[in-house]
Amino acid sequence: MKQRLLRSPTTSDLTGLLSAWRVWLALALLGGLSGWVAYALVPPNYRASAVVLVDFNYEEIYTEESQDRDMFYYMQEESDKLMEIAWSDQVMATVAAHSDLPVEVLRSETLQISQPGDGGWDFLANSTDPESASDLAGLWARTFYEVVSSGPIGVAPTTDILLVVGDEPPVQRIPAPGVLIFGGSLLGVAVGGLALLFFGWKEKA
Amino acid sequence: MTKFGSGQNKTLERVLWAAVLVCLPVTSFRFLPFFGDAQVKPLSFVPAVFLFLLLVWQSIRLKKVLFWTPALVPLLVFSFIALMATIVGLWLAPPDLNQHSFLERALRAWITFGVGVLFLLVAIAEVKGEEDLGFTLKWLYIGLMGHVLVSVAQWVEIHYLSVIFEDLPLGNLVDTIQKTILMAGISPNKRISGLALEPSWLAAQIASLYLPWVVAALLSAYASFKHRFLVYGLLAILGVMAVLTFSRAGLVIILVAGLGTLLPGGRDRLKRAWEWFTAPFRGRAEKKSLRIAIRLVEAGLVLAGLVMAGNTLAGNTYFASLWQARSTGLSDYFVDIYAGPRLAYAQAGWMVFAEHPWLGVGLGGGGLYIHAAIPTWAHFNSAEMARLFSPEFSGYPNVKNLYLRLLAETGFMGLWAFLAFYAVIFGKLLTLLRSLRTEMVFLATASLFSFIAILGSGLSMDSFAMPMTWIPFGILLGMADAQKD
Repeated sequence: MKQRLLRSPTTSDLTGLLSAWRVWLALALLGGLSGWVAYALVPPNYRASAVVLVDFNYEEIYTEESQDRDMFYYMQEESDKLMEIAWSDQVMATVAAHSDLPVEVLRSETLQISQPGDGGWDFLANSTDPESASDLAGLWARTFYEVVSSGPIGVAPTTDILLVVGDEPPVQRIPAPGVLIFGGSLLGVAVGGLALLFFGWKEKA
Repeated sequence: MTKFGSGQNKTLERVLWAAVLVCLPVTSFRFLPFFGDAQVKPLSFVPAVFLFLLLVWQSIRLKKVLFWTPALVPLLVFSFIALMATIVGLWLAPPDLNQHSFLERALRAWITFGVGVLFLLVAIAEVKGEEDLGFTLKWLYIGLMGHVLVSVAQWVEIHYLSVIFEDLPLGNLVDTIQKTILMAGISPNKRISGLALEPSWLAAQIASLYLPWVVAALLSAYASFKHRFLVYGLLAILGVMAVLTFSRAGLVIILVAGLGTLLPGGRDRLKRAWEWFTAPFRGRAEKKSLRIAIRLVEAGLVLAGLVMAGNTLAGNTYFASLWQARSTGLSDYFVDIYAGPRLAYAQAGWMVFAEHPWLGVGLGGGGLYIHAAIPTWAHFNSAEMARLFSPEFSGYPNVKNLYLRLLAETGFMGLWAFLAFYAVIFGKLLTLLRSLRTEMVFLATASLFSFIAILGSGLSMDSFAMPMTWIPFGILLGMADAQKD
């Protein structure tokens, strides 16, 4: 056994292991099950997603003769303005007042916003409790909608927004269970394969 | 060829196998029956079906399965898992997408899987020895000539006919003829595609079917081609064709496969090549100056070829976007290099798997779920995505990555079962690399190149019905089994 541990694996060991497909499948299954158990024991946070539809109506401003560059710059500017409003003290203070979390935590950990553009903006909230996540995401989206609808300085009058999902936004665990299951199977195959290659389970005669 | 067939059967087998090999370049024959509006419609499927039926009849007659090998067991396991996944998919009952139902797509997926496995099985049965291998290579490269001729015609049209006869019928003659016979015409962006549907498919065929044997002939001591100049000539032709496809994935795969093959299989050969090259520079020999001059000219020609290839690639906007993109984020970079949809589909495929990890959503059912899983960033910056979300779109989206497709449609165990099949193949070729028989080392060297190429092509293609992803494995398994017998 000691000699087996100290001996470097040979090409025959590698080719033998590659041909042992039952071993691979068993390692993958064990690893996947381990991932599922890990998911059950230490479940990830919930994430809720509220949606606000943003339409810049650039076709009212730009004609066919306009440069694409000008249109892109315009949309980038308007997106940036709305992003600043989404993270502004006014909006954050309203959300913080209705939750137990300080503004700093909301900005740095709890709240996220999906890649904004012309279309649906996802206002995401993370929490260990699904109801809290849902409340936070919905409140944030509704507050943002109310502030922008009041016509703040700087936002183009042609920009339209619509609150699409603000009440009881859907919640799911992130990451999804498949991520841990696949990660577990990958780890199982990698670690198990290396262990078998270097240590083996049979002693050579 | 099989040892047990009668004379007439042997001849018919030869003819059908030769027909399969010659027709391999045609990936999307318009008039292939039963394939509907699919893009993958291999012409070689027609002779392959008849060949398979003949093999089945012979197997019954001889009471021996002529295309069986134990290496197929993990593939059987995958089939079982995929079947269970399909049953689960039926139970999930997703809503139809653009008049595509789960049942229809599942059936289609199983048929394409069957088509792929059919190519694998006939290759296993038809290549059982050195003579069979020689026959196979001969007809394989006869088939390559089809690619070469059409590629030349495409290149002439792109660079000359379309310019000289602009707006005249002669200006797009090749394109018109091609669209009559194949599912698509000449590719945009001045790229050649030969008899394949797309340039990337031609590059993938070069990488997995045609280049491996040429590289193996260079690296091994086996005299697989009658004349050495044939090897160099084929290498040059395949190199030029690969460059003119401007397929980024294809060229990277060829490079990686070449390096991956050189390291284990070519060190001795490289050493001998270096010794041959430097021989005139050492010691005293007759006509030393002339020999040195010839060596320098040869080196200069190779270098000039590489510089020309690099220049050609850099001059193509599509290819050059790889290093000309000025994006800050990953998704923006993929959009800028015209690969945004691919990343979006891949992300969507992963999301589908993440929600259905155990058995996926059923073989063929991925498209019914990825439509809703396309990430937000891809909704507004890609013409292809805009077309996908348009109410007028009647197609069926797919993941375009074999591994993510298997994850999404058969779960993590389905993927591992499929990879176990690949692992068995890899083990076999590693074993043959150490064989004392030169033809086996040649076979293993070529198979290693093909293996890496096929592994890489799975990152950008997800169809089971492509013969180029099955036939190299069939040749390896058939020869490996015959060696054991």
